[in-house]
Amino acid sequence: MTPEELVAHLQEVDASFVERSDIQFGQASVWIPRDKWVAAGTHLKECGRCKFDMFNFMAGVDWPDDNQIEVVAHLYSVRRQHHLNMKIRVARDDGSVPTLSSVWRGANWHERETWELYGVVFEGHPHLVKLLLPEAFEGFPLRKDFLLMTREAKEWEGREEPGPPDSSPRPGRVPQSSGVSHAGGSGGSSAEAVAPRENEGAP
Amino acid sequence: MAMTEERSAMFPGGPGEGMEIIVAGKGDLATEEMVLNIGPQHPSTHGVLRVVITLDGELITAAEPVIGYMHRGFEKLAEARDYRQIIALVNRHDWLSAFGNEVGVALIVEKMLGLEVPPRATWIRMLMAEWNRILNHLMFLGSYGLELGAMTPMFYAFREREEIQALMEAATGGRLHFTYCRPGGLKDDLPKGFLQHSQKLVKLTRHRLLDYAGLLLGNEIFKKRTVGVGVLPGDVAKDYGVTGPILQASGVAEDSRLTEPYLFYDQVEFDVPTGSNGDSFDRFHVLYQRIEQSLRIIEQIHDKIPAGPIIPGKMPKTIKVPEGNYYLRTENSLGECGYYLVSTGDKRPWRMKMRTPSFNNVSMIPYLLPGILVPDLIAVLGSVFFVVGDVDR
Amino acid sequence: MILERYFSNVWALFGLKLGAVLIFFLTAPLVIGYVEHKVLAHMQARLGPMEAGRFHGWAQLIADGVKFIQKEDITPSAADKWVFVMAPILVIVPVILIFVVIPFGPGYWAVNLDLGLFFALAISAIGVIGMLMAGWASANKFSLIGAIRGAAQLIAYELPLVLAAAAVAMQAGTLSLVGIVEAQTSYWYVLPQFVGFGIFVTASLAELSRPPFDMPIADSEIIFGHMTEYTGIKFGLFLLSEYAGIVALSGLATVMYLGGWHSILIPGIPAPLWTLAKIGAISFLVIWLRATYPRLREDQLQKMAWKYLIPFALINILLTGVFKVVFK
Repeated sequence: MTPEELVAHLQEVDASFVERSDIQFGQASVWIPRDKWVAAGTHLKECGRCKFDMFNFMAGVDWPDDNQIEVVAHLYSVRRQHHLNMKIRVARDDGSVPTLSSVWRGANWHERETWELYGVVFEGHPHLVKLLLPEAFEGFPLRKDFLLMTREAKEWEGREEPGPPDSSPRPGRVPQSSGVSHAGGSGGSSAEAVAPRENEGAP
Repeated sequence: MAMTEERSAMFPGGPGEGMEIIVAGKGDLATEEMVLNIGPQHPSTHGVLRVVITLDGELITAAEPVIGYMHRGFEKLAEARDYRQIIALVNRHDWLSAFGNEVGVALIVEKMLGLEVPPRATWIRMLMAEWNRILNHLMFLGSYGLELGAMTPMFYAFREREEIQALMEAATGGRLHFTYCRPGGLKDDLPKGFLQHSQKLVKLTRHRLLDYAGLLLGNEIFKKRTVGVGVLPGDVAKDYGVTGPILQASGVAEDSRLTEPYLFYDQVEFDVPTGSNGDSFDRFHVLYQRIEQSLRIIEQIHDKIPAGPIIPGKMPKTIKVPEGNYYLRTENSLGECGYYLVSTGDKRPWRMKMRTPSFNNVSMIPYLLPGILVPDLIAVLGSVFFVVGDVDR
Repeated sequence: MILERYFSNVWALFGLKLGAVLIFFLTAPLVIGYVEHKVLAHMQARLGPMEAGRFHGWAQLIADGVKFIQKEDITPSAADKWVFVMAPILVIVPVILIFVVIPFGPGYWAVNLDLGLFFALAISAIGVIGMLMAGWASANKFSLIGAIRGAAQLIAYELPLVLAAAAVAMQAGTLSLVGIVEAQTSYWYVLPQFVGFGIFVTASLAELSRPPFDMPIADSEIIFGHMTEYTGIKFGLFLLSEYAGIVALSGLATVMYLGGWHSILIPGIPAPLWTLAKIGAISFLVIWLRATYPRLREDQLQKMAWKYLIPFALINILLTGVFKVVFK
């Protein structure tokens, strides 16, 4: 089903499933209210037209300006080959979402990870303990107010485009185009060549 | 009947020191379950994966993987880097198929920006991605035999890997972490003679691949150890989100290169091998067949690479992805590797979620292990192909 | 025995024979160990030891021996000290004793026992106790698992070993190893008893815990089985006993099936060299199997012994008996 059809189908089944929907770059996202979260998930898994049998991942997105955390569960259907994002926004402090691990077994570990990184509690989860972080870790690292101390100590400038692509450099010579910052930056500069390049078709 | 228990300390120092034997007395024969810790340092777990298993004699009744020993906070780090620096970061979670990860990031940035990548760059990306896939699969082919006791395939696999790594080093400068992709194209063009070398290497690898079939696939002892061991049904695999060779071995022909072709995979012909039983032998066999299919793709790419630039003509000075969110997936060697990018128009991502294949693959271990014997534990764990950096990020 | 021609003093003879056996015991396993390094390496597309002794690393195992002697000897604090120390001795002494009865040529043996074969098989069974002691005394779960697996395996494979040897003894009409070799002048026993030869070699691989039967020391699962907690010279003794065991059991197989010192095709080579060449050939086969096969699981191992090897060995004995009655 196309993304539009998916959203329309969900609204047909139960109008309260879809609080709001969005389609970006060909992928559908639906915001589902909290009390319909598990019901919508169950429907999406079992309905013959949707058939979302694969639980792909769950991510959290922190929106400090709205004081909310968005939980995104991405589903995929192997049979029908379509994707869907199930989204829900909860309050930052003491936000909680019902668990999807009774619907898809794969949700188990993803919910544990989202909980420990964001602080969103998943109600009804069988074993909500830390997965990636050590037991003694305090705080929720992926929130925006948990600062990355090395970046606070020193700002990391992004690499800028080192010049037009056909400034044919000769071997061993570093071009003097402006805007090349030698501090930080990973990978090599695209202009240092030590072997003659081939730009021909099939040999 | 009441059960009497005698505790006898067999070593000086009394109970708690040395080994203690609990003898169940007359009455109901009760045995205690033993909790055994495999790893994090163990000769056969691939990296720092720790599995806590509960044993009843030699039968496993419960298994719980404990992960996080290699958690480096990639997703947090990605929020502090711009779109070119992320490429170097993303090399490092699944380090055996580093180029595949880079391609994923480059593709999602280009999609959201609407950048047009020159065809030559796309074909070269495909070529490198397929060689990288072969590198990854060869590693697991070799190490699986080693865990079962066959020492020789490991050395052969590394011999092949050395040759392929030398090839990729000629173009990218790296043997493990390539950092070759850039949003929009590639860092550098291919050196002279690369394609001829690549063609020769295809023939050589194909010839040497027969050694593995002879040494392992046809070996009766190998078959006895792996057939029927660790069966994963297809629908359970899908429930857990398992992808890649493991899912294909369980009978589900799901491959992102076929269903949602990225790069130019719709212009080359290849098959997706599937297994029939979902046991360890099938997973190994699918791995072997995937290498053959990758070689086939590489041969087709050789004929199709056009001349041309490798970076689009007009590249912005700083890459700023417009606002929005998208999830793009690629078929990496271990499974589906995807990136969910949420952008607010800045030169750094607001949130980059790395959907790594090994995380989902390892999450199904609590389902797979109970009910098998301890000697089969190694055979099964080795067939769940994962890289620990991928699991923990 | 050759030396008896020149010396009549019992104690001198004893000392010389002991010296000869010990020298053989200290050199042959090292040669086989070095050959294993090199053969495995070349089968695996690499070179093997190249540095020690400058010419292709011939002194590698000697260097290893020196290394083991000077290493720190650690006994785990929870280990039962005396059992821990005695275990390697119980593993290595029986193997030395097997060398006492193997004949290398006409006149070249240490002792010609009338029950040579019986003695050799009985002595080799003592190694099981040493393995159990090592695993138990190590106070380590993995060692215990390895030792118990080893005990089960070695006991199971004693039977095919003994039954195959019994068929040879029946055909030769004597238990003395020298007698068995001398009975093979017209044809080697491997020809009528190839099944028995196969059974004997398989069973001796299992007795030595060599791949594909190395579950007791499966190093990808239980680290190193009963030898995990050993360091220094005790560990060196365990390893030495493994290679010495290969030489000893190859020696027995040579004597029983391959005609001992009898030559074939090429004239003029002294008899002891023939024996050594045949021992070398069987050891090469043992090493080759290590490079090729993964290991069998314990229950598959046991199934193989009880369901396949023992029935075949019994049929072998039956056929040998029929053969002896019909053709004699």
